[in-house]
Amino acid sequence: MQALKIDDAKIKQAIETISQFGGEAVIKCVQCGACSSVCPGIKAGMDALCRLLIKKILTGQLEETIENMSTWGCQACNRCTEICPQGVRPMEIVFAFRRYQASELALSTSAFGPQMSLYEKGHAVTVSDEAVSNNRTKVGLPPDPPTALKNEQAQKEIQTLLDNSPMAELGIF
Amino acid sequence: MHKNIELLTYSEVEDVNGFIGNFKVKIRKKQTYIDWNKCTGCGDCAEACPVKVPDEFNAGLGKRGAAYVMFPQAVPKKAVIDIDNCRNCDGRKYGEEPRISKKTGKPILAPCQKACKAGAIDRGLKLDPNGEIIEVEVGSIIVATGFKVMEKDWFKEFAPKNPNVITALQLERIMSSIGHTGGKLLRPSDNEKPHTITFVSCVGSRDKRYHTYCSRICCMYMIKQARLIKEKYPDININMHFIDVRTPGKGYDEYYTGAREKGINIFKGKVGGLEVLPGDKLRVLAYDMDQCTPIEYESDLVVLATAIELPDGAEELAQKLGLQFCGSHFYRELHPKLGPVETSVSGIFLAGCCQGPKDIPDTVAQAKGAAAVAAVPLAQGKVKVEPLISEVNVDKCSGCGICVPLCPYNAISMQEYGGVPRAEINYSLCKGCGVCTSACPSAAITLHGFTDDEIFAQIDALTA
Repeated sequence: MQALKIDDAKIKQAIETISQFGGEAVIKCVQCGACSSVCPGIKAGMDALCRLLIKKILTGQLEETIENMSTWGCQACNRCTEICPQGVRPMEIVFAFRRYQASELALSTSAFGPQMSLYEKGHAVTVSDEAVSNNRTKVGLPPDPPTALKNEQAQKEIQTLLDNSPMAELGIF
Repeated sequence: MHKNIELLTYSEVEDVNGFIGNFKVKIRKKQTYIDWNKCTGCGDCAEACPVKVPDEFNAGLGKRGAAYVMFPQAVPKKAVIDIDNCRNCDGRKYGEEPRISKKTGKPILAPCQKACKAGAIDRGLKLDPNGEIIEVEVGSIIVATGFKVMEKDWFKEFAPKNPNVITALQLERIMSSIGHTGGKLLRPSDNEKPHTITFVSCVGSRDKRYHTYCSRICCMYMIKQARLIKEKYPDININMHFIDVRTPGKGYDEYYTGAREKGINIFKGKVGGLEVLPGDKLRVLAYDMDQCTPIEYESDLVVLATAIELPDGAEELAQKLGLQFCGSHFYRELHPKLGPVETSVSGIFLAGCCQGPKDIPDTVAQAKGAAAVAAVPLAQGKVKVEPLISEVNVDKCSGCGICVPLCPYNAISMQEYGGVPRAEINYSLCKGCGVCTSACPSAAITLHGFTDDEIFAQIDALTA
């Protein structure tokens, strides 16, 4: 393993980046490890969550960690937030890191399809319109669901929202 | 005991008046309901008493009677009756005449009274339930309230309702030869010997939700408990979880490394929670910082090192004494470096955990320091007073009395001067804070060193 070089400028930049993405509390972390002891993601083999992810940020290793896909395994159960003795809210740090990853397009290509579907239909994951109508009719419901799926007005609104969000800067849509 | 030492146990401070060299302290000697001049501390009444209530001395794990001796080494070793829990076995309240048995024609007596061979219990006596108030005059006061540990009920993540989750103080009682188990290491749920014991550090300490300070003694006492258990029962597995191990002090780190050599498992990483499993087991959810891996295992007994706090009643005592609190809610010392035993009230000194968490050597050192510094004014018979204090010009004072309740040190009183009341400042109590000076509507109070002329001269010098 290569020795880690400690570079204060790099650390400062990493903390600033994560703070901008909503993880301001990252500097409060004292590395006690309580979050990692209850994190179901870590037990499922996703290493860079909670304590270790925060340590990577606090040692300025943003670029070294950006390809690590563990962060996308966070189920947002918030047990880490509940247990944290320093008010760090580790889940927020994980989400801030995700935003950083997304801003650099460091996310799985399989994530693009659902994003585009969300933009077009208002649903990240859906089956064909016909299948939806058939399934609903079978159980005695009106064929059109009360969501954005068949509602052009609602779809337009979602598109406006997404066009004005940081998501638009990624150029997926 | 030395002839100059008077020990007042089972007593509470009711009120403190006066100032250094001239304190008047009202002390309530609580009603013991047992004649301490006759009581020999044999404990027969405690054995005879049918009441069973949780024993405070054994941290609620054992039981005691309503008549009891606090613990075998109590000084003085005397029994008391806890009247709130007394069942009045003889069918009368304390202070009433005994009922007469129709069969024997003799008075019916409670088991405690019958058991007392020394005749110290007479339940027919009319005793004042409020006890007795005595007043003593003292020159200086040392406050040493001691501490309490946080109850486990605060920590929902550590299954506080489970009997096998205990505080470290409770483990201390379980391990003690005069504890309720007689020194046998038995866990509370089934009185069986545990096979795996878990120690959890920093419970309530170093935690923004409870106390941000480090309780300071937990690392060492947990290692001590673990070592004592491991030496006596090498077959018991001991896992200790620390955020980090803090063992500064002479010989302390050697004691810690010795624990590792004895086969005690030490992990860095805070325990996140406990899960209750069937069969009186607890699943520990922990983390090993060194390997970046979560830890999960089953434990029979979990010991929580809960945070140290001021004991109940310490707030009231502070009000009576005029003491201040620091940010971590202990008594505030005069100066963290140069006045660690003095307080803002001259003549009142601090010793032990009431000033902040500390271990036995530190407490002894501070107590000896407090004793020495408390003896100085008594030996000298005089005290030095700070020159920068306030003084009343009696000719200007209108006697309105506005300053009296404002003084945070109770230094101002109204005194007769030429037939009218006038404010008077006690120089021993005044700290020169200047509240009275700025509040006085007649500008009759001068704070020496901070008169208008002096302040304007300073401004002139700075802006010249």
